Amino acid sequence: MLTKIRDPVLDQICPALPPRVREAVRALPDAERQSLLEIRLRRGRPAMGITAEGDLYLCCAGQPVACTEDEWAAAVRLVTQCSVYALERELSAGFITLPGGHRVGLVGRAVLDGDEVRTQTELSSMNYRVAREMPGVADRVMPYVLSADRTRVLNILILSGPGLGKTTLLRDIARQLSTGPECGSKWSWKCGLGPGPGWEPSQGASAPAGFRVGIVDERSEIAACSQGVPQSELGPRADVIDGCPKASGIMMMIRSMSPDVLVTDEVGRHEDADAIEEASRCGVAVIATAHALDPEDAARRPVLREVLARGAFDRAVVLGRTLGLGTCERIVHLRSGQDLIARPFRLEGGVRVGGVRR
Amino acid sequence: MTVALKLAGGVLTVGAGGLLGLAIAESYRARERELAAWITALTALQTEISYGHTRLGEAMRRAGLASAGAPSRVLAHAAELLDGGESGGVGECLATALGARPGDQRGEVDALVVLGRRLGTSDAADQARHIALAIQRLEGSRAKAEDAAARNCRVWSSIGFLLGGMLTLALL
Repeated sequence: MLTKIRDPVLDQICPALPPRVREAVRALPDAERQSLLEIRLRRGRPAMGITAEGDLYLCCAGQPVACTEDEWAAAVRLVTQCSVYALERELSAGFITLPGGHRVGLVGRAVLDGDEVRTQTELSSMNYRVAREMPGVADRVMPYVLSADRTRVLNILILSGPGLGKTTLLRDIARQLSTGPECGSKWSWKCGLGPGPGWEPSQGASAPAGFRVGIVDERSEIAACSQGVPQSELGPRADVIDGCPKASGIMMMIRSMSPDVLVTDEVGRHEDADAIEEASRCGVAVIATAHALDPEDAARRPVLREVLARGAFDRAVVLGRTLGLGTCERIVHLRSGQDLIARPFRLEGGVRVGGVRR
Repeated sequence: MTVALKLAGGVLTVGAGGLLGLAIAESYRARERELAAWITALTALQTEISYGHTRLGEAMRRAGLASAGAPSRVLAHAAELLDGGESGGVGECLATALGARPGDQRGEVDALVVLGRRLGTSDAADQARHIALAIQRLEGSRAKAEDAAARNCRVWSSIGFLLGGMLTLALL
Protein backbone atom coordinates (compact mmCIF):
# COMPACT_ATOMS: atom_id res chain seq x y z
CA MET A 1 0.00 0.00 0.00
CA LEU A 2 1.56 3.28 -1.07
CA THR A 3 1.18 6.25 1.21
CA LYS A 4 -0.04 9.39 -0.53
CA ILE A 5 2.84 11.82 -0.51
CA ARG A 6 2.15 15.52 -1.09
CA ASP A 7 5.58 16.35 -2.43
CA PRO A 8 8.30 13.68 -2.22
CA VAL A 9 11.14 16.19 -2.05
CA LEU A 10 9.40 18.03 0.79
CA ASP A 11 8.06 14.99 2.58
CA GLN A 12 10.73 12.35 2.09
CA ILE A 13 14.01 14.08 1.32
CA CYS A 14 13.72 17.29 3.38
CA PRO A 15 13.54 15.44 6.74
CA ALA A 16 16.99 14.00 5.96
CA LEU A 17 18.53 17.41 5.19
CA PRO A 18 20.19 19.69 7.77
CA PRO A 19 17.88 22.53 8.89
CA ARG A 20 19.17 25.45 6.76
CA VAL A 21 19.36 23.36 3.58
CA ARG A 22 15.86 22.09 4.32
CA GLU A 23 14.64 25.68 4.59
CA ALA A 24 16.38 26.57 1.32
CA VAL A 25 14.73 23.65 -0.50
CA ARG A 26 11.35 24.54 1.00
CA ALA A 27 11.80 28.12 -0.18
CA LEU A 28 12.31 27.08 -3.82
CA PRO A 29 9.43 27.78 -6.21
CA ASP A 30 7.29 24.65 -6.73
CA ALA A 31 8.35 24.18 -10.35
CA GLU A 32 12.03 24.37 -9.50
CA ARG A 33 11.66 22.03 -6.55
CA GLN A 34 9.77 19.50 -8.65
CA SER A 35 12.47 19.55 -11.30
CA LEU A 36 15.21 18.72 -8.79
CA LEU A 37 17.13 15.61 -9.78
CA GLU A 38 19.72 15.79 -7.03
CA ILE A 39 20.68 17.80 -3.97
CA ARG A 40 24.41 17.86 -3.37
CA LEU A 41 26.01 18.71 -0.03
CA ARG A 42 29.75 19.11 0.34
CA ARG A 43 31.41 19.71 3.67
CA GLY A 44 32.03 23.42 4.12
CA ARG A 45 30.97 24.26 0.57
CA PRO A 46 27.68 25.61 -0.80
CA ALA A 47 24.79 23.17 -1.14
CA MET A 48 23.55 22.78 -4.72
CA GLY A 49 20.40 21.59 -6.42
CA ILE A 50 20.79 19.78 -9.73
CA THR A 51 18.07 20.03 -12.37
CA ALA A 52 17.92 18.98 -16.03
CA GLU A 53 18.36 22.67 -16.90
CA GLY A 54 21.47 23.15 -14.76
CA ASP A 55 22.78 23.57 -11.23
CA LEU A 56 21.54 26.08 -8.69
CA TYR A 57 22.81 27.23 -5.31
CA LEU A 58 20.44 26.58 -2.43
CA CYS A 59 20.10 29.89 -0.61
CA CYS A 60 18.90 30.88 2.82
CA ALA A 61 18.37 34.62 3.50
CA GLY A 62 19.82 35.35 0.08
CA GLN A 63 23.11 33.57 0.76
CA PRO A 64 24.19 30.14 -0.53
CA VAL A 65 24.03 27.66 2.34
CA ALA A 66 27.39 26.12 3.20
CA CYS A 67 27.11 23.40 5.85
CA THR A 68 28.88 24.16 9.11
CA GLU A 69 30.49 21.29 11.04
CA ASP A 70 27.41 21.02 13.29
CA GLU A 71 25.09 21.00 10.29
CA TRP A 72 27.23 18.39 8.59
CA ALA A 73 27.08 16.22 11.71
CA ALA A 74 23.30 16.68 11.73
CA ALA A 75 23.08 15.68 8.06
CA VAL A 76 25.10 12.51 8.69
CA ARG A 77 22.95 11.77 11.73
CA LEU A 78 19.72 12.27 9.80
CA VAL A 79 20.80 10.20 6.80
CA THR A 80 22.19 7.35 8.90
CA GLN A 81 19.40 7.64 11.50
CA CYS A 82 22.16 7.55 14.14
CA SER A 83 22.83 3.95 13.13
CA VAL A 84 26.18 3.82 11.36
CA TYR A 85 26.68 0.26 12.66
CA ALA A 86 23.57 -0.88 10.77
CA LEU A 87 24.75 0.69 7.52
CA GLU A 88 28.27 -0.64 7.15
CA ARG A 89 27.41 -2.47 3.95
CA GLU A 90 25.68 0.61 2.53
CA LEU A 91 28.57 2.86 3.55
CA SER A 92 31.08 0.50 1.95
CA ALA A 93 28.93 0.51 -1.20
CA GLY A 94 28.70 4.31 -1.01
CA PHE A 95 24.98 4.90 -0.72
CA ILE A 96 22.05 4.71 1.67
CA THR A 97 18.44 4.31 0.56
CA LEU A 98 15.92 6.65 2.19
CA PRO A 99 12.23 5.85 2.58
CA GLY A 100 10.66 6.47 -0.81
CA GLY A 101 13.59 4.87 -2.63
CA HIS A 102 15.61 8.08 -2.76
CA ARG A 103 19.29 7.28 -2.61
CA VAL A 104 21.95 9.27 -0.83
CA GLY A 105 25.41 8.75 -2.28
CA LEU A 106 28.18 9.23 0.29
CA VAL A 107 31.91 9.58 0.01
CA GLY A 108 34.54 10.14 2.66
CA ARG A 109 37.58 8.29 3.94
CA ALA A 110 37.49 4.59 3.16
CA VAL A 111 38.28 2.10 5.92
CA LEU A 112 39.94 -0.91 4.32
CA ASP A 113 39.88 -4.51 5.41
CA GLY A 114 42.55 -6.07 3.23
CA ASP A 115 41.64 -4.95 -0.28
CA GLU A 116 37.95 -4.52 0.53
CA VAL A 117 36.32 -1.27 1.64
CA ARG A 118 34.82 -2.17 5.01
CA THR A 119 33.11 1.17 5.63
CA GLN A 120 33.64 4.93 5.27
CA THR A 121 34.30 7.54 7.90
CA GLU A 122 34.80 11.34 7.77
CA LEU A 123 32.17 11.75 5.08
CA SER A 124 32.87 14.73 2.86
CA SER A 125 30.11 14.77 0.22
CA MET A 126 26.51 13.63 0.00
CA ASN A 127 24.33 13.38 -3.07
CA TYR A 128 20.58 13.04 -2.48
CA ARG A 129 19.15 11.54 -5.67
CA VAL A 130 15.40 11.93 -6.19
CA ALA A 131 14.04 8.47 -7.10
CA ARG A 132 12.00 8.43 -10.28
CA GLU A 133 10.05 5.47 -11.50
CA MET A 134 8.43 5.60 -14.91
CA PRO A 135 5.54 3.16 -15.00
CA GLY A 136 4.88 2.17 -18.60
CA VAL A 137 8.38 3.01 -19.81
CA ALA A 138 8.81 -0.63 -20.88
CA ASP A 139 5.53 -0.78 -22.87
CA ARG A 140 7.22 -0.68 -26.27
CA VAL A 141 9.96 -3.08 -25.23
CA MET A 142 7.70 -5.73 -23.69
CA PRO A 143 6.80 -7.47 -26.98
CA TYR A 144 10.52 -8.15 -27.44
CA VAL A 145 10.91 -9.44 -23.87
CA LEU A 146 8.34 -12.19 -24.42
CA SER A 147 8.38 -15.09 -26.86
CA ALA A 148 6.23 -14.83 -30.00
CA ASP A 149 3.33 -16.62 -28.32
CA ARG A 150 3.77 -14.46 -25.19
CA THR A 151 3.94 -17.48 -22.89
CA ARG A 152 7.65 -17.38 -22.16
CA VAL A 153 10.06 -14.69 -21.07
CA LEU A 154 13.27 -14.46 -23.08
CA ASN A 155 16.74 -13.85 -21.67
CA ILE A 156 17.35 -10.14 -22.09
CA LEU A 157 20.47 -8.07 -21.59
CA ILE A 158 19.95 -4.31 -21.34
CA LEU A 159 23.02 -2.35 -22.40
CA SER A 160 23.92 1.32 -22.10
CA GLY A 161 26.37 3.74 -20.61
CA PRO A 162 25.77 5.12 -17.09
CA GLY A 163 22.69 7.25 -16.39
CA LEU A 164 20.75 6.35 -19.52
CA GLY A 165 17.87 4.51 -17.87
CA LYS A 166 18.89 0.84 -17.67
CA THR A 167 17.60 0.37 -14.15
CA THR A 168 14.43 2.37 -14.80
CA LEU A 169 13.65 0.14 -17.78
CA LEU A 170 14.61 -3.02 -15.89
CA ARG A 171 12.35 -2.07 -12.98
CA ASP A 172 9.37 -1.47 -15.22
CA ILE A 173 9.92 -4.73 -17.10
CA ALA A 174 9.96 -6.52 -13.73
CA ARG A 175 6.79 -4.69 -12.67
CA GLN A 176 4.95 -5.51 -15.88
CA LEU A 177 5.94 -9.19 -15.83
CA SER A 178 4.94 -9.47 -12.19
CA THR A 179 1.66 -7.59 -12.60
CA GLY A 180 0.51 -9.16 -15.83
CA PRO A 181 -1.54 -7.32 -18.42
CA GLU A 182 -2.89 -4.01 -17.20
CA CYS A 183 -6.07 -2.28 -18.31
CA GLY A 184 -5.21 0.15 -21.06
CA SER A 185 -1.73 -1.28 -21.59
CA LYS A 186 -0.36 -0.76 -25.09
CA TRP A 187 0.48 -4.42 -25.54
CA SER A 188 -1.45 -7.59 -24.88
CA TRP A 189 -0.81 -10.98 -23.37
CA LYS A 190 -1.93 -14.27 -24.77
CA CYS A 191 -1.14 -16.25 -21.65
CA GLY A 192 -4.11 -16.63 -19.34
CA LEU A 193 -7.02 -14.28 -18.93
CA GLY A 194 -6.30 -10.66 -18.28
CA PRO A 195 -8.59 -8.45 -16.26
CA GLY A 196 -11.47 -6.73 -17.97
CA PRO A 197 -12.08 -2.99 -17.81
CA GLY A 198 -12.67 -1.77 -14.30
CA TRP A 199 -11.22 -4.95 -12.77
CA GLU A 200 -10.38 -4.57 -9.12
CA PRO A 201 -8.83 -7.22 -6.91
CA SER A 202 -11.20 -8.74 -4.39
CA GLN A 203 -11.02 -11.63 -1.98
CA GLY A 204 -10.81 -14.91 -3.89
CA ALA A 205 -10.72 -13.20 -7.28
CA SER A 206 -8.23 -14.77 -9.68
CA ALA A 207 -5.21 -12.59 -10.36
CA PRO A 208 -4.36 -11.65 -13.95
CA ALA A 209 -1.73 -13.81 -15.57
CA GLY A 210 1.83 -12.85 -14.80
CA PHE A 211 5.22 -14.32 -13.96
CA ARG A 212 6.94 -14.96 -10.66
CA VAL A 213 9.75 -12.44 -10.72
CA GLY A 214 12.81 -12.92 -8.52
CA ILE A 215 14.78 -9.70 -8.11
CA VAL A 216 18.38 -9.99 -6.98
CA ASP A 217 19.04 -6.42 -5.96
CA GLU A 218 22.68 -6.31 -4.97
CA ARG A 219 22.84 -2.50 -4.82
CA SER A 220 19.26 -1.81 -3.67
CA GLU A 221 18.65 0.10 -6.89
CA ILE A 222 15.85 -1.91 -8.45
CA ALA A 223 13.47 -2.35 -5.53
CA ALA A 224 15.00 0.40 -3.35
CA CYS A 225 14.24 -1.57 -0.19
CA SER A 226 14.16 0.50 2.95
CA GLN A 227 14.11 -1.59 6.12
CA GLY A 228 12.88 -4.62 4.21
CA VAL A 229 10.10 -2.89 2.30
CA PRO A 230 10.50 -2.37 -1.47
CA GLN A 231 9.90 1.31 -2.16
CA SER A 232 9.45 0.76 -5.90
CA GLU A 233 6.24 -0.54 -7.41
CA LEU A 234 7.08 -4.09 -8.48
CA GLY A 235 3.72 -5.81 -8.81
CA PRO A 236 2.25 -8.67 -6.82
CA ARG A 237 4.57 -11.49 -7.85
CA ALA A 238 7.97 -9.96 -7.22
CA ASP A 239 10.27 -11.37 -4.54
CA VAL A 240 13.33 -9.33 -3.66
CA ILE A 241 16.62 -10.42 -2.18
CA ASP A 242 18.26 -7.19 -1.15
CA GLY A 243 21.95 -6.39 -0.81
CA CYS A 244 23.07 -9.91 -1.65
CA PRO A 245 25.93 -10.57 -4.08
CA LYS A 246 24.40 -11.50 -7.44
CA ALA A 247 25.92 -14.95 -7.78
CA SER A 248 24.77 -16.12 -4.33
CA GLY A 249 21.48 -14.26 -4.62
CA ILE A 250 20.58 -15.86 -7.95
CA MET A 251 21.10 -19.37 -6.56
CA MET A 252 19.28 -18.57 -3.32
CA MET A 253 16.37 -17.12 -5.26
CA ILE A 254 16.11 -20.17 -7.53
CA ARG A 255 16.19 -22.57 -4.58
CA SER A 256 13.88 -20.64 -2.30
CA MET A 257 11.35 -18.83 -4.52
CA SER A 258 11.30 -20.84 -7.78
CA PRO A 259 10.94 -17.75 -9.97
CA ASP A 260 9.95 -17.77 -13.64
CA VAL A 261 12.18 -14.80 -14.28
CA LEU A 262 15.29 -13.50 -12.54
CA VAL A 263 15.99 -9.79 -12.68
CA THR A 264 19.35 -8.39 -11.72
CA ASP A 265 21.44 -5.32 -12.29
CA GLU A 266 24.92 -4.76 -13.70
CA VAL A 267 26.49 -8.08 -14.57
CA GLY A 268 30.24 -7.66 -14.30
CA ARG A 269 31.97 -10.53 -12.52
CA HIS A 270 32.87 -14.05 -13.59
CA GLU A 271 30.75 -15.57 -10.83
CA ASP A 272 27.76 -13.54 -12.11
CA ALA A 273 28.24 -15.12 -15.52
CA ASP A 274 28.34 -18.61 -13.98
CA ALA A 275 25.20 -17.98 -11.93
CA ILE A 276 23.32 -16.58 -14.93
CA GLU A 277 24.25 -19.62 -17.00
CA GLU A 278 23.17 -21.89 -14.16
CA ALA A 279 19.82 -20.06 -13.98
CA SER A 280 19.31 -20.50 -17.72
CA ARG A 281 20.00 -24.22 -17.35
CA CYS A 282 17.37 -24.37 -14.59
CA GLY A 283 14.82 -23.01 -17.05
CA VAL A 284 14.64 -19.60 -15.40
CA ALA A 285 14.71 -16.59 -17.72
CA VAL A 286 17.20 -13.87 -16.83
CA ILE A 287 16.84 -10.15 -17.46
CA ALA A 288 19.96 -8.20 -16.58
CA THR A 289 21.74 -4.96 -17.32
CA ALA A 290 25.37 -4.22 -18.09
CA HIS A 291 27.54 -1.22 -18.85
CA ALA A 292 28.32 -1.33 -22.58
CA LEU A 293 27.40 0.84 -25.54
CA ASP A 294 26.11 -2.06 -27.68
CA PRO A 295 26.60 -5.85 -28.09
CA GLU A 296 29.83 -5.29 -30.02
CA ASP A 297 31.20 -3.15 -27.18
CA ALA A 298 29.98 -5.76 -24.66
CA ALA A 299 31.88 -8.46 -26.54
CA ARG A 300 35.08 -6.53 -25.86
CA ARG A 301 34.62 -6.88 -22.08
CA PRO A 302 35.89 -10.25 -20.82
CA VAL A 303 32.96 -11.17 -18.57
CA LEU A 304 30.26 -10.01 -20.98
CA ARG A 305 32.05 -11.75 -23.85
CA GLU A 306 31.96 -14.94 -21.81
CA VAL A 307 28.24 -14.50 -21.02
CA LEU A 308 27.38 -13.78 -24.64
CA ALA A 309 29.54 -16.64 -25.94
CA ARG A 310 27.72 -19.08 -23.67
CA GLY A 311 24.45 -17.97 -25.27
CA ALA A 312 22.98 -16.99 -21.91
CA PHE A 313 20.97 -14.13 -23.46
CA ASP A 314 18.56 -14.17 -26.40
CA ARG A 315 18.24 -10.46 -27.01
CA ALA A 316 20.01 -7.22 -26.17
CA VAL A 317 18.17 -3.94 -25.65
CA VAL A 318 20.50 -1.01 -26.29
CA LEU A 319 19.72 2.37 -24.73
CA GLY A 320 21.22 5.69 -25.79
CA ARG A 321 20.23 9.33 -26.17
CA THR A 322 19.95 9.98 -29.91
CA LEU A 323 16.31 11.05 -29.40
CA GLY A 324 16.98 12.30 -25.86
CA LEU A 325 17.44 10.56 -22.51
CA GLY A 326 15.79 7.12 -22.56
CA THR A 327 16.05 6.25 -26.23
CA CYS A 328 15.85 2.59 -27.23
CA GLU A 329 18.50 2.56 -29.93
CA ARG A 330 18.46 -1.07 -30.90
CA ILE A 331 16.98 -4.43 -29.99
CA VAL A 332 19.32 -7.12 -31.22
CA HIS A 333 18.73 -10.84 -31.68
CA LEU A 334 22.04 -11.99 -30.23
CA ARG A 335 22.37 -15.34 -32.00
CA SER A 336 21.80 -13.95 -35.49
CA GLY A 337 22.97 -10.40 -34.80
CA GLN A 338 19.81 -9.15 -36.50
CA ASP A 339 18.31 -5.80 -35.49
CA LEU A 340 14.66 -6.29 -34.51
CA ILE A 341 13.62 -2.63 -34.72
CA ALA A 342 13.94 -0.45 -37.79
CA ARG A 343 14.69 2.84 -36.00
CA PRO A 344 15.25 4.14 -32.46
CA PHE A 345 12.27 5.14 -30.34
CA ARG A 346 11.78 7.03 -27.09
CA LEU A 347 10.85 5.10 -23.96
CA GLU A 348 8.06 7.05 -22.34
CA GLY A 349 6.02 6.54 -19.22
CA GLY A 350 4.31 8.41 -16.40
CA VAL A 351 6.73 9.73 -13.83
CA ARG A 352 6.30 8.43 -10.33
CA VAL A 353 8.53 10.05 -7.76
CA GLY A 354 8.94 8.31 -4.42
CA GLY A 355 5.42 6.92 -4.37
CA VAL A 356 3.49 9.56 -6.33
CA ARG A 357 2.47 9.37 -9.97
CA ARG A 358 2.79 12.71 -11.72
CA MET B 1 -10.11 8.98 77.57
CA THR B 2 -6.84 10.90 77.80
CA VAL B 3 -4.89 7.66 78.16
CA ALA B 4 -6.67 6.22 75.13
CA LEU B 5 -5.84 9.34 73.08
CA LYS B 6 -2.20 9.20 74.21
CA LEU B 7 -2.05 5.51 73.32
CA ALA B 8 -3.56 6.17 69.87
CA GLY B 9 -1.13 9.06 69.30
CA GLY B 10 1.74 6.85 70.40
CA VAL B 11 0.71 4.07 67.99
CA LEU B 12 0.39 6.60 65.16
CA THR B 13 3.82 8.10 65.90
CA VAL B 14 5.49 4.69 66.05
CA GLY B 15 3.65 3.65 62.85
CA ALA B 16 4.65 6.85 61.04
CA GLY B 17 8.26 6.51 62.13
CA GLY B 18 8.29 2.86 61.09
CA LEU B 19 6.80 3.63 57.67
CA LEU B 20 9.34 6.38 57.12
CA GLY B 21 12.13 3.97 57.96
CA LEU B 22 10.69 1.32 55.65
CA ALA B 23 10.36 3.89 52.83
CA ILE B 24 14.01 4.87 53.21
CA ALA B 25 15.04 1.19 53.26
CA GLU B 26 12.93 0.59 50.14
CA SER B 27 14.62 3.50 48.36
CA TYR B 28 17.95 1.69 48.78
CA ARG B 29 16.47 -1.50 47.30
CA ALA B 30 14.79 0.47 44.48
CA ARG B 31 18.12 2.05 43.56
CA GLU B 32 19.68 -1.40 43.36
CA ARG B 33 16.76 -2.66 41.21
CA GLU B 34 16.94 0.36 38.90
CA LEU B 35 20.62 -0.12 38.24
CA ALA B 36 20.01 -3.83 37.57
CA ALA B 37 17.24 -2.83 35.12
CA TRP B 38 19.64 -0.43 33.36
CA ILE B 39 22.19 -3.22 33.02
CA THR B 40 19.51 -5.49 31.52
CA ALA B 41 18.42 -2.72 29.13
CA LEU B 42 21.97 -2.00 27.97
CA THR B 43 22.65 -5.72 27.49
CA ALA B 44 19.52 -5.92 25.32
CA LEU B 45 20.66 -2.80 23.44
CA GLN B 46 24.05 -4.42 22.85
CA THR B 47 22.34 -7.50 21.40
CA GLU B 48 20.09 -5.42 19.14
CA ILE B 49 23.07 -3.44 17.84
CA SER B 50 25.66 -6.22 17.57
CA TYR B 51 23.51 -9.05 16.28
CA GLY B 52 20.30 -7.49 15.00
CA HIS B 53 21.91 -4.39 13.43
CA THR B 54 18.60 -2.76 14.37
CA ARG B 55 18.33 0.99 13.79
CA LEU B 56 19.08 2.86 16.99
CA GLY B 57 15.59 4.28 17.61
CA GLU B 58 13.98 0.86 17.31
CA ALA B 59 16.86 -0.79 19.21
CA MET B 60 16.33 1.60 22.14
CA ARG B 61 12.62 0.94 22.12
CA ARG B 62 13.18 -2.84 22.16
CA ALA B 63 15.83 -2.57 24.86
CA GLY B 64 13.34 -0.57 26.91
CA LEU B 65 10.77 -3.33 26.52
CA ALA B 66 13.31 -5.90 27.75
CA SER B 67 13.62 -4.06 31.06
CA ALA B 68 11.20 -2.48 33.48
CA GLY B 69 10.66 0.78 35.32
CA ALA B 70 12.71 3.87 34.61
CA PRO B 71 14.93 2.44 31.82
CA SER B 72 11.86 1.40 29.86
CA ARG B 73 10.35 4.89 30.05
CA VAL B 74 13.62 6.72 29.45
CA LEU B 75 14.63 4.66 26.42
CA ALA B 76 11.15 4.91 24.87
CA HIS B 77 11.22 8.71 25.35
CA ALA B 78 14.77 8.98 23.97
CA ALA B 79 13.78 6.89 20.92
CA GLU B 80 10.83 9.20 20.35
CA LEU B 81 13.08 12.28 20.51
CA LEU B 82 15.60 10.61 18.21
CA ASP B 83 12.96 9.72 15.62
CA GLY B 84 11.70 13.30 15.73
CA GLY B 85 15.15 14.29 14.47
CA GLU B 86 15.06 17.75 16.03
CA SER B 87 16.71 17.06 19.38
CA GLY B 88 20.34 16.86 18.38
CA GLY B 89 22.42 13.74 18.89
CA VAL B 90 21.75 10.60 20.87
CA GLY B 91 23.56 12.03 23.91
CA GLU B 92 21.22 15.03 24.01
CA CYS B 93 18.15 12.81 23.52
CA LEU B 94 19.20 10.53 26.37
CA ALA B 95 20.07 13.48 28.62
CA THR B 96 16.66 15.05 27.95
CA ALA B 97 14.85 11.75 28.54
CA LEU B 98 16.80 11.19 31.77
CA GLY B 99 16.08 14.73 32.93
CA ALA B 100 19.82 15.13 33.48
CA ARG B 101 21.11 18.32 35.06
CA PRO B 102 24.70 19.58 35.23
CA GLY B 103 26.45 18.00 38.20
CA ASP B 104 23.89 15.19 38.43
CA GLN B 105 25.09 12.75 41.10
CA ARG B 106 23.30 9.67 39.73
CA GLY B 107 26.05 7.38 38.42
CA GLU B 108 23.94 5.96 35.62
CA VAL B 109 23.18 9.40 34.17
CA ASP B 110 26.82 10.16 33.53
CA ALA B 111 27.48 6.67 32.15
CA LEU B 112 24.45 6.91 29.82
CA VAL B 113 25.12 10.44 28.60
CA VAL B 114 28.74 9.53 27.84
CA LEU B 115 27.53 6.38 26.06
CA GLY B 116 24.92 8.42 24.18
CA ARG B 117 27.62 10.60 22.64
CA ARG B 118 29.14 7.48 21.03
CA LEU B 119 25.97 5.52 20.21
CA GLY B 120 25.29 5.09 16.52
CA THR B 121 28.50 6.74 15.37
CA SER B 122 30.69 3.72 14.65
CA ASP B 123 30.65 0.08 13.60
CA ALA B 124 28.96 -2.69 15.58
CA ALA B 125 32.16 -3.95 17.26
CA ASP B 126 33.02 -0.46 18.49
CA GLN B 127 29.46 0.09 19.68
CA ALA B 128 29.58 -3.18 21.61
CA ARG B 129 32.78 -1.99 23.35
CA HIS B 130 31.21 1.34 24.34
CA ILE B 131 28.11 -0.37 25.69
CA ALA B 132 30.22 -2.92 27.58
CA LEU B 133 32.11 -0.04 29.16
CA ALA B 134 28.86 1.63 30.24
CA ILE B 135 27.63 -1.69 31.65
CA GLN B 136 30.90 -2.02 33.57
CA ARG B 137 30.37 1.43 35.10
CA LEU B 138 26.81 0.53 36.01
CA GLU B 139 27.98 -2.74 37.56
CA GLY B 140 30.30 -0.66 39.74
CA SER B 141 27.41 1.60 40.75
CA ARG B 142 25.26 -1.45 41.43
CA ALA B 143 27.92 -3.01 43.64
CA LYS B 144 28.03 0.23 45.67
CA ALA B 145 24.23 0.34 45.79
CA GLU B 146 24.15 -3.29 46.98
CA ASP B 147 26.65 -2.48 49.72
CA ALA B 148 24.64 0.55 50.76
CA ALA B 149 21.43 -1.48 50.73
CA ALA B 150 22.98 -4.28 52.75
CA ARG B 151 24.28 -1.79 55.30
CA ASN B 152 21.25 0.46 55.53
CA CYS B 153 18.09 -1.50 54.72
CA ARG B 154 17.92 -3.51 57.94
CA VAL B 155 18.97 -0.47 59.99
CA TRP B 156 16.31 1.79 58.50
CA SER B 157 13.65 -0.91 58.71
CA SER B 158 14.04 -0.99 62.50
CA ILE B 159 15.32 2.50 63.19
CA GLY B 160 12.09 4.07 62.02
CA PHE B 161 10.05 2.17 64.60
CA LEU B 162 12.69 2.85 67.23
CA LEU B 163 12.71 6.61 66.55
CA GLY B 164 8.90 6.60 66.58
CA GLY B 165 8.93 4.82 69.94
CA MET B 166 11.49 7.22 71.39
CA LEU B 167 9.53 10.22 70.21
CA THR B 168 6.39 8.75 71.75
CA LEU B 169 8.15 8.24 75.06
CA ALA B 170 9.55 11.76 74.95
CA LEU B 171 6.12 13.24 74.30
CA LEU B 172 4.36 11.25 77.00
